[in-house]
Amino acid sequence: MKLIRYLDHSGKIQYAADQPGGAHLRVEGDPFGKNRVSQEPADIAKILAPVVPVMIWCIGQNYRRHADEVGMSSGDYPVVFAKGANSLQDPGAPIAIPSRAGTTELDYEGELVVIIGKPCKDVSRERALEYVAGYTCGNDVSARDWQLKKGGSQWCRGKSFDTFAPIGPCLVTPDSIADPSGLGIQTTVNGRVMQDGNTRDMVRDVPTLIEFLSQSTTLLPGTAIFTGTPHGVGMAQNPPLWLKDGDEVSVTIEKIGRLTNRVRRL
Amino acid sequence: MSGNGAAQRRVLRLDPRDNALVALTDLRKGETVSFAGSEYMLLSDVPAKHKFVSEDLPAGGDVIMYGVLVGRTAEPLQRGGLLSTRNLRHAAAAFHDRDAVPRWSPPDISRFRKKTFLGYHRADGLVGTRNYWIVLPLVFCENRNLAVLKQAFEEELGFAAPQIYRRQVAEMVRLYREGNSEDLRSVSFTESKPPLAAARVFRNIDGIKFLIHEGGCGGTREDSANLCALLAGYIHHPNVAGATVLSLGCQHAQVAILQEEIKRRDANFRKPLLIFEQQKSASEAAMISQAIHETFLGLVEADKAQRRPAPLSQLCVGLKCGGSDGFSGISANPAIGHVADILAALGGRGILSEFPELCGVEQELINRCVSASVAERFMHLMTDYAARAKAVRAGFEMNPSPGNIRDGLLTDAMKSAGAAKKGGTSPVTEVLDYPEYSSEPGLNLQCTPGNDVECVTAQVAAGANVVLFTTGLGTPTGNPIAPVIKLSTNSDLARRMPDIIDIDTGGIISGESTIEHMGESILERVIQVASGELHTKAELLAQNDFIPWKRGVSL
Repeated sequence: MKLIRYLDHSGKIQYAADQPGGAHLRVEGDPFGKNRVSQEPADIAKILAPVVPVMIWCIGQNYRRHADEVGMSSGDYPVVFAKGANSLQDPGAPIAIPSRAGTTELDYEGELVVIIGKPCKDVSRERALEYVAGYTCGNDVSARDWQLKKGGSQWCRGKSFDTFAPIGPCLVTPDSIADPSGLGIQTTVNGRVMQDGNTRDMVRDVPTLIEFLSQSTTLLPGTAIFTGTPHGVGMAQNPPLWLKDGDEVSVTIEKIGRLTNRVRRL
Repeated sequence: MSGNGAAQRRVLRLDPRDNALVALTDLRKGETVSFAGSEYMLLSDVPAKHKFVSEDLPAGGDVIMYGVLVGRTAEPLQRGGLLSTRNLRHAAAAFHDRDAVPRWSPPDISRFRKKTFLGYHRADGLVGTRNYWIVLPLVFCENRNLAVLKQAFEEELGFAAPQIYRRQVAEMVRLYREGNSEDLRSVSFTESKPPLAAARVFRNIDGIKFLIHEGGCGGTREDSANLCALLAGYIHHPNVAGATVLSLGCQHAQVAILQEEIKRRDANFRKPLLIFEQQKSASEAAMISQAIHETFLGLVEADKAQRRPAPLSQLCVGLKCGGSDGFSGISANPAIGHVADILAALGGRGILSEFPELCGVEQELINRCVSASVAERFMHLMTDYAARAKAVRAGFEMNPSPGNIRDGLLTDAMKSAGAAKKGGTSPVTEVLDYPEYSSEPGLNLQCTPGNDVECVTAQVAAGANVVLFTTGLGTPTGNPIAPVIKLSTNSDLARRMPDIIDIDTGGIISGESTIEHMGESILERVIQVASGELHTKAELLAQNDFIPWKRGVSL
């Protein structure tokens, strides 16, 4: 099932299910628990990020060719960092160039994002997917100057500016994606394909990441895990391709859909 | 295909009537394998994708696969004996008038009935999956002028493919100039980042494509007329916003023939069509400069097009296999056949071509034709094609390539029986001669050679706005204006060549997926590609293969 979270015309936040026929029907109850799909067409004013994450964990260097292009190694353990919950952005909404701090090295990272559905602690790889509520597309937007140069290596700051974590456009539940490996993923900037990867090439697959993360921390329902980006990021281009005001970035994942955001100087 | 314990399958009988079984993995001499309650002792090693006979056969015995005759034995064979080119000869069943009326139960299409893709709606009602401007020569004499235009436009508009290998040549030039012959010989290159091309000027245009070819004069009049008709198909194609045509003037392929063929496809043709004739121009520079000026203004207009939702009935899918192996007819071909069936049920179109690879399955296709006249046209075109081949001392039986044979496709009829699976099971609604345009919803048969590029070039000229291309050995092919989605028949190929394979259908062989399930997920991918959300490997490699079929002799 494909779930979308939306604002209706009365200003209420609702969930709807994307029907095989193409219509959207409103979902009653808890979209991640007990719910039913009503017969009522969804009155969509604006599509929102499919969840408001309680925590955003991210994995670095999880595709070998990306690790190579940025000159880092994949290491013995996954590289883990976090993005602030403030950085969430809706599909179609702007990625804002920070107005006071500024950045001249704004970059994109198209990623498969896993949303956790049940409290998850010390789970084994074999059972990890049972805790997944669904999958969506994400863009781990990064200000490389703040991430790598200014003040040393401050990944959390460089990736946690407001609007730097767009996710969407929908949440695809595990009944539609039984196995999250083998999904094609592409990122385009102004229509040009910059990243072309496949989740089968992850250094550590989704179950392994959930197993690892759940050993250090309880993954609460609504946790988002950005699972790493394939090669082709802007900083690895020659010369680097930094995002600028007006650029349109899209992340498309097979079986999920397309997340599009425009860069804006607000 | 979804039998119990599918994951453990080692051999497969493709049809209950078959007397040859396919090995799904490498099998050893002396090994006993069982299938459907019978046991078979293998008399020699049977590599994966190859076949052994399930009963004793005399010399000249019929070998049946997919329920049809695929060859006759050249010597007596014992149960469990390996089939090879040494003991098997091509043989195909004769065919005759339609002796059945098609009865078809369409697949379940409830999941797709109301689905849409985002396409470019043209004034004539057709819907494109891409938005291209094309530049084409009416004759090879204009190819150099086309190359000049290509260089000028592609770089400046940001459509040029990255110059990945220039750095390597530059580095070797440096070593050569330094007289460093030892380093020049031993130097090795790792993949380096090519300089990034300029940003795209037109965001709503997928590219400007230059269809260089070797025809238009010097051959038969039929070839020139067919070339004009083929080019008219590209100009009429919904993926094309407008066209620039370069003509020399004196060639066989006259502008008037092209215009006549365009009108035949659309009496109210209104797309921008810019024609320049060199023999009427003051100079080369005058013609090129005027062509650039008018083409650029055309691009400005073409960029105003926007993608809007369109029903799946606007999809026309070319069905093609190339670099086939012994799994093609088991995994990828029936999977795209299922896509063709779903599209037929939705009112879309599928095009099955490659007539030399329909040899041996004619009767099944004849019986699937919706009318006697459609069947007659198919029989006529098949017979005519075979006669043309015979006239030059060739024959359909020569079709399988060395690579095909190594990977288990021993005779043309065996290759055909698997190749025809791409057409699914729906009724044949229309039969097209080369290079006619397809308009009838449902499965269309189209007369083309098996040659990968000649065939896909023709399918797109007939209106295919997506091509599904299956391969077992791996081939990079693509088309200038239609996305070509390549599907591997086995997972090993998908792992080895991820830069050219879009979809892996090997799960059908291993038992992890079924033909129906795979077909549905292929169609979902088709929708994403048709909407411009995902790009094919061939598009990323700028694999713009274009070869018009030349049927006649050179004069």
